[in-house]
Amino acid sequence: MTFDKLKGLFSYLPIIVFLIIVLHHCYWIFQANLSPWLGGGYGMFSTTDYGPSRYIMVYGLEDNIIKEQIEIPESFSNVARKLRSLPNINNLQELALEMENYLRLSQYGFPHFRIEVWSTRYHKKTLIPSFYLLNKLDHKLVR
Amino acid sequence: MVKAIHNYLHKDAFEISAHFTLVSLLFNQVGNSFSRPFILCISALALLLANGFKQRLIWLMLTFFTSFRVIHEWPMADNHAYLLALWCLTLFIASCNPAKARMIIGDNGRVVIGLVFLLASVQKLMSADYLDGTFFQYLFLTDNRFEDFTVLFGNVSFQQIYQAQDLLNQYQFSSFSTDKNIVPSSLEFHLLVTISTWWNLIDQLAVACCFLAPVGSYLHRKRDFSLMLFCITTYAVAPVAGFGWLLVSMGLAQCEHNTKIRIAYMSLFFIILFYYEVHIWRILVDFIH
Repeated sequence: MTFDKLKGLFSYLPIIVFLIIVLHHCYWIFQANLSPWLGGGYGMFSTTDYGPSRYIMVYGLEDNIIKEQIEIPESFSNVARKLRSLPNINNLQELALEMENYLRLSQYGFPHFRIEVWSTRYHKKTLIPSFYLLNKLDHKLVR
Repeated sequence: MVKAIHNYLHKDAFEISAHFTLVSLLFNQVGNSFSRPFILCISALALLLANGFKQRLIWLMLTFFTSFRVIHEWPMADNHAYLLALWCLTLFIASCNPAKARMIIGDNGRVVIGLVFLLASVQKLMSADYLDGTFFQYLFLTDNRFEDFTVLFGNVSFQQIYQAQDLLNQYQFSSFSTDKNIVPSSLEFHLLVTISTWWNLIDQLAVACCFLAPVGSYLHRKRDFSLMLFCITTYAVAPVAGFGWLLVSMGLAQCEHNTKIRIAYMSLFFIILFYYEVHIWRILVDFIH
């Protein structure tokens, strides 16, 4: 490829970068349930599957049985927001580590906890919601 | 004043588009506490210095900070952050090659606008809950930014909106059941949802078709009209002025050297500013009630 052709290609770099962003966006939507609203630059106002319709539930576990629901502290709102948008294993682990530190400090009693990320589907006529699990992680509390 | 405006309208497309991009960066303060002060300082300097908008270092730094914001916050950055970073990159490339600056900003502006609108339309067509109206029903009842508009045109009261939000909250992970309707049984509300759903899709598809149509074709000649129609109708309702200003800056970069089209785009920039600052639906709601 000659220098002139490369220079010509450089002129269209924004279009090339945008197409790469689109491929990246599609990959994460199909691979890790990324909210289609986010992450690509063009997905807004197209679906109810975004932040307010996604929920994170944290439960204390004992012998793999749910014992109680744990509230996520307000100070973790950024990590939680990121997890709601992209519920992949990295983001689940990031929140799990934050929760582990928090639970250890508050002398929490159960040996494991579970983090679940749920999405909502609304009935097209009544808007009555139904929920489906996007991803979950069981985490052992290291004492 | 008139002569000054007249002279300005005949300036190079790169200069006009760069100016409007810089002004929108100052109006719509983007980024986090780390990147925002740099973006604001650089944009102000570019406007204050003589020929500051031509400096490639200015656009390189703006590309860096606007891209940093997208990468650092991914995937949570606002949608227009992506377009802004790409547009700063376009202006940087154009500033590196002044002889072809007009062509670079024109081609990139036109194709990127076309692709963004095409993908936004495809996303709506593929969405599980857009075409059946679920999305706009949900949006109008839960997003407080749209409640005045919904009350005005949907023939529903604020009480009905808050009741719907309350009922939706009560349904969360519970066996809650009620005879009360979440969706108000108002004909106007259902009409508003249907019109919003289809207008939003058709309008965006039209912009995509016009901007991606072959140069010289009928659709290509109508592209500025389609984008202006989108901006006038959308930003009257959706309070996302930053995206609108950016589209106007890109529109100015790719339009023909035609005084009327330039005046229309510039007027649109200030119309969006008025939409953003003067909450017309709020005023009308207060006036009617």
